[in-house]
Amino acid sequence: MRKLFLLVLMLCCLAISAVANAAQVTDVKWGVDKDNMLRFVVDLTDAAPYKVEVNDKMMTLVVDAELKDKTAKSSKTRSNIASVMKVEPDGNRTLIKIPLSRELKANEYKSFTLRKDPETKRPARIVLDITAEKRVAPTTVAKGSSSSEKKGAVVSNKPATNSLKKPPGVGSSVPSVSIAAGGGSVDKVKSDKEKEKERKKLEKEKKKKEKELKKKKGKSVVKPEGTFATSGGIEGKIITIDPGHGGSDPGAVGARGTLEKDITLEIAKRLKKDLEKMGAIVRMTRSTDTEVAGPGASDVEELQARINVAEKNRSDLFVSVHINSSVNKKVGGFSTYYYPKTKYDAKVAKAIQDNLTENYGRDNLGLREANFYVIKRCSMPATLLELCFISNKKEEKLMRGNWFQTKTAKLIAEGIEKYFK
Amino acid sequence: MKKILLLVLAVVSVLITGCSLFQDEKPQPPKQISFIIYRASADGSEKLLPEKFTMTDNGKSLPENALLALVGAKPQSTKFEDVIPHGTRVLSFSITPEGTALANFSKEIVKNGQGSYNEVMMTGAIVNTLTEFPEVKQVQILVEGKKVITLGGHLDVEDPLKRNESLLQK
Repeated sequence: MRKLFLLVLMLCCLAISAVANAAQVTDVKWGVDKDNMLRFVVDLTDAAPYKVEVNDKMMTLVVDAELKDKTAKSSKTRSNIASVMKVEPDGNRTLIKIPLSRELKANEYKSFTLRKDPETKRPARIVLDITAEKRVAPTTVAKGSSSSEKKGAVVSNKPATNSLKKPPGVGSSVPSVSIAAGGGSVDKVKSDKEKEKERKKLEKEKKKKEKELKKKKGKSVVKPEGTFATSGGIEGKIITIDPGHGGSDPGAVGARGTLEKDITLEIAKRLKKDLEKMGAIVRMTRSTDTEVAGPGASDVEELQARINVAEKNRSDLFVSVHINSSVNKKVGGFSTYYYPKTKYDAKVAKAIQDNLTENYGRDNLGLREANFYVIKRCSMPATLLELCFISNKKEEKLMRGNWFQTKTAKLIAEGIEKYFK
Repeated sequence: MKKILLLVLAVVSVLITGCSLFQDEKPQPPKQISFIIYRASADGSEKLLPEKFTMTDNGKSLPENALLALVGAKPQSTKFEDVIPHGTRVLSFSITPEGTALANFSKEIVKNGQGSYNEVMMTGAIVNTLTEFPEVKQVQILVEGKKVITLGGHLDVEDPLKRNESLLQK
């Protein structure tokens, strides 16, 4: 009798806690990354089971959690595979309907979950990536050589999170859909296995093709992984420019409302043109106001995504463009950072800093060593530029203007040219 | 004979304890210790300046006291700026035999949305303050007992950090 009572009590408790912990969908976001991958991110108050259904040209992400504001929404997306997304409450579930422009194969989309991360205050998330229209990266995953960890580039079907070295708060991604959904049928499991097979097959074929391509091109054209050129003139050098921040991350904000992400992009665009005129091959981590890792990524994923662009393109140099900010409103000027992982990091930083300060009447805060993630964890020489202070009224006004943006870009380009001489 | 021996022993022991009792009664001035901590310069020059800190000896090691002072005490002059986020506490501190200081902070130290300047100055102040002591070769920053990759989205603090002379005023 007592046992029965206890059992009932336990069941009650379970039922209550289940109700209390019922997860809710708080937001659904979408974004298209630079490789044209369409990503949906569902924010949840708690982890919830979900499944992805594809019927003809309709993709539905069914989340076993109530839609918090209970109102249906639809929003346009900027993708050629799906132009609209509808979020609808369905009893205790939430449906995210994505009408597709064509049918998708199993290997053209994937989904995974991210754990709640109290450290970065990110909620539990479900991520759905449609890679159907994704542009294929020109080279294979670059193997880093200078530092011990893996530096995987975001290539093909792997989510960006997999290439990271245990970032905090990024939960293990759930590769298949039915695990979390609980009532996964046998058919579902089977199709997942098939998906996996297909995926592996595709990857194998891709690798083969790439190998053949390499052979055709010959060794002189494709640089060995993890190597970089440091001399012989700027012509033909591969330079990755990283305009700091972007998308949901504005960076520092000035008193007039100037956003760091806008200024860094403007200067980076001008720098790209200048370097190309000098004969360099330039790659940008972003060329619009967007995140590089896609919306909903953690800080670390975002930083790593920027490095991945440089690694993937086998860059000779990585230049991260930032605007400084200080509590002290009077401080102004340029500072250039490097991390001494090779002897060339300080060399390129000095070449740029010298050229900036010799030609500007602004303060020279100096050449500094600092372990910025993006300049520390990439394999090629890198520098991070802090180009004046958005917190300084005079400088904020200055940096909004075309004159400053153009002149600064030109001086950086000249500094880089000197470095490669 | 045995009794005498015991008596002597008793007297000697009384004398010894008596002596020590006598010594304890003498009021001793509390021992003062002083050390250098590094703080960001308030003039915004992105430099770290030394601040001399004096306190009563509390039995803790000098590096630990220096870290506690850097995080917990207000700057003694307006020429210093406090760059450690408000509410941050030191949860634990130890030094490994290899010379790595394990500085474990509360979660308040993780703060997004600030410029890289603050991050550079904050980690610089912590690491340079601790490596001022010869027993500390490098510093591993921990948050709530765990390694983190970044505190504010710019710097990589996953591995132990070495002294950064480029931040010091010369």
